Amino acid sequence: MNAEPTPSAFSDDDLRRRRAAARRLGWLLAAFVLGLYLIGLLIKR
Amino acid sequence: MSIATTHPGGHAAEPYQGGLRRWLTTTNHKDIGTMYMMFSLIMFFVGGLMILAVRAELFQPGLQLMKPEFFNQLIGIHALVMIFAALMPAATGFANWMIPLMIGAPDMALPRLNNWGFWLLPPAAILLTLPFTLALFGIGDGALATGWTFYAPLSVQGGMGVDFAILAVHILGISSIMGSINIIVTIFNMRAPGMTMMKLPLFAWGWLITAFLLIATLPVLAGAVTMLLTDRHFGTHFFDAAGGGDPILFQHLFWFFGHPEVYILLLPVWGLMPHVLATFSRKPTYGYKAQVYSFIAIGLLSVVVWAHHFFTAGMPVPALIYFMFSTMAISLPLAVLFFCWIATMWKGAMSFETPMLFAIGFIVLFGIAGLTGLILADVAADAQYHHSYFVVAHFHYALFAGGIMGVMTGVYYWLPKWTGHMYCEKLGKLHFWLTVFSFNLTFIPQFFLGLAGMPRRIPDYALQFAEFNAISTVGAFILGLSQLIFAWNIWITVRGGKKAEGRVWESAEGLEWELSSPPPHHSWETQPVIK
Amino acid sequence: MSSSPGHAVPGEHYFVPQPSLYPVILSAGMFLLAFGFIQVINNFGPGKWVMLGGTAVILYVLFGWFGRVISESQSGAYRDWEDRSFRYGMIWFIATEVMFFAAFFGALFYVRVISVPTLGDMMATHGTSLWPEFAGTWPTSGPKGPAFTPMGAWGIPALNTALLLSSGATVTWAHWSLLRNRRRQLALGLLATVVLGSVFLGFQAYEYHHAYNELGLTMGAGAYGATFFMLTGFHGFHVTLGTIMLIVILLRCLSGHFSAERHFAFEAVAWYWHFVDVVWLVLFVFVYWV
Repeated sequence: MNAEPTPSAFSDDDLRRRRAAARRLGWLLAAFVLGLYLIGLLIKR
Repeated sequence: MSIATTHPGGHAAEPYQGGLRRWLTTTNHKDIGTMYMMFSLIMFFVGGLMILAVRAELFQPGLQLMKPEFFNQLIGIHALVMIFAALMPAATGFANWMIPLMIGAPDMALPRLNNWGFWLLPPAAILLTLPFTLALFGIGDGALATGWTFYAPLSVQGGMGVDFAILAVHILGISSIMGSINIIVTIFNMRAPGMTMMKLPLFAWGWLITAFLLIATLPVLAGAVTMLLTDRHFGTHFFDAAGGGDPILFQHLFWFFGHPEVYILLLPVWGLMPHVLATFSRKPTYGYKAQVYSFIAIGLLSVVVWAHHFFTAGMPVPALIYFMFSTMAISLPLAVLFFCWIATMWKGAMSFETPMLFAIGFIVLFGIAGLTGLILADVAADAQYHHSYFVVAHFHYALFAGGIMGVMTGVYYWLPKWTGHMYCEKLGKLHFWLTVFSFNLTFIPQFFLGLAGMPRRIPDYALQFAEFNAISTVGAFILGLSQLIFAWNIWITVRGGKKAEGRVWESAEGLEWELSSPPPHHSWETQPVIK
Repeated sequence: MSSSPGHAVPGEHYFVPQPSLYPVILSAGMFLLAFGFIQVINNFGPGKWVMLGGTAVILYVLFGWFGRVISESQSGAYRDWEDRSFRYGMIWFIATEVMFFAAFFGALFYVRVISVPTLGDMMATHGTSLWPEFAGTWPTSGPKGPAFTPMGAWGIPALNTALLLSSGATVTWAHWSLLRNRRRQLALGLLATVVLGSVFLGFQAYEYHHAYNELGLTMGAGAYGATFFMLTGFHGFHVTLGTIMLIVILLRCLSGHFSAERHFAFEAVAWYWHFVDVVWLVLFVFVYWV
């Protein structure tokens, strides 16, 4: 997360990469939360 | 039709006023918005200095720097200053600057009233802090020492600092009510032709609900402190059981205002978040209608949950259960908002300029505020956490991470629009990371302290709490000093810097970006037509 | 009233007033009034004189600011668009006033339904009480309050109810006359409203005198005295304001202001008067009657 250039400087290619990255991160976070939930189910309280 | 003849006092004939007179007399929404923002920034540092003195005292156990009485005054005035003189004016400043630009209005609907609303703030701030100075001259015993909640009977017995605070709250209340009326009227009556309520920008929606909450609850606070005043000086017994009154009546009245106040502080921020997230995700806002309905639901729920602030004060069990479940019900519309914010970013072409960093930081940290709030809403658990540092940490996640960081999001997002200059991105990012780091360093230990049983509002504590308090104080000082970067960044942006274009962010949507940066003195003199 | 409710007419220019010093002077006056008041109740400084100065400043601004608004209105600066702003503004201002009274009614209901009965039931529910002989019945000045006689509903209060209700009718008569352009009846209707309001205030003053001197009913008479005087007192204060506003409107009518089409100030004051009227009805039922 270094200093970004002004937003208008993004190329179409760059924007496409960012979209893909956002989608990947989204699934990753969802998996993480689901994992937490499953661990919570398994732990004996 | 010529403007000059139909508007004898109107803007066509307006002479230019320079210097101090411009600011004293202005009826321009941008000038008034600027004054609100500057006032807020100054009071943010005033309130910050107070709490740094408190944190310095708490750095280690024992009494080092101040008497307990003075400590009590500092925490109460810190809260009142931060809530009424820093956060609320910042939100009103945003509203003044942005709502007319966003809805295509020439100005606020009631411009002179608008100016009055602002100029009530400095006298109120003076009333709040004057007792500190008077005490130096031997008059009175300092400021309000009851904490910001004025609980009776302590506040009935307190010194004249209580009277100063009561009158200050009255004046601040009039200011907020005037601001709210103005915003409601502006949104209802000044929208560009074709802008229906369901095309209204979410920021304006958030503020509309805020304004209604202020109208519904601030007069009740005014009534409550008026009863306090008459109990103190005119012999009434509202809060005295010997006369058939009840100290808990004050808590009911206070929190009938106090709980919606949380949403008053947060709704403007929730309103601006979707704008920022959509801009930097290069996608339209997800779930516009869902967010509007959530705002309305939260607004309605917020006025029926107040007693969860004093579960331990004594209440019939059915009342406890009602207030617990109604409080927890708020998490449903709030979860809808969180979902919409995240879904706005989902598959978006995100870039991480400073406003976006603050917005994401806001979502994560405010999420912690919400989750710890659920713990406190649980009647059984609250018996343990009530009046502990856990509560302090919880509401700072809500009001600093949720409120102040939300305001910072808005400032970085709109500052180029207001000044016509880009802020320094490097300093902005430095400010963000330092703020997030030191904020967590300050308040995560306070969760642990609260769980371990350290009560809030005390100047001294048991030895076992020493390490966490020391860490928290270090964090607080870094947090305080980091804000100097913020002030410096604003200063250099106002003074100069790279020119900003009208559409500051290339993917930003909305009427406000159609105007130049800074916008002309009279924006939207001819209203745009929305298709 | 409006061609397109909630929206401006395309191409129309909104009236934005010139810069004005009145708001900041008003704030200064209010600061002086508040600061002087604090001095008076805490016995330090020249409080009375500071309050007097603040009041003078506020009066100066009220005359100046309202004078400016009236002259703007007379010069035709306000059209439907501006008029709508004022109407919305007045409606929401009255809403805040409603909530202010709601706080005091809330206090009244709380002491009557919760705190007084709870105090009376302490022996029964907890087996212990600071004041075992306290019965917890309304009206009361609490376990330690002075003895007093509560105010009956069917003497002066009932008369006052009739007065206020008929004043609501006379102000409506004045409004109808204005709409039908019958200026003499308009003035008569307003005059009648002012007279009824003033007589109401006179009766209230007499009632207070009676309460303090013969009934032992004072501000200090516990929960009953506190709620009685704060509710009727703030209501009386609002009637006073309303009467002053009605007098101003009457004077403006006599100088030929207002037309059948444009008379926001008249309607705002009429709304305010009806609001004060409704508050009284609730007050009559819950403070005096039941």
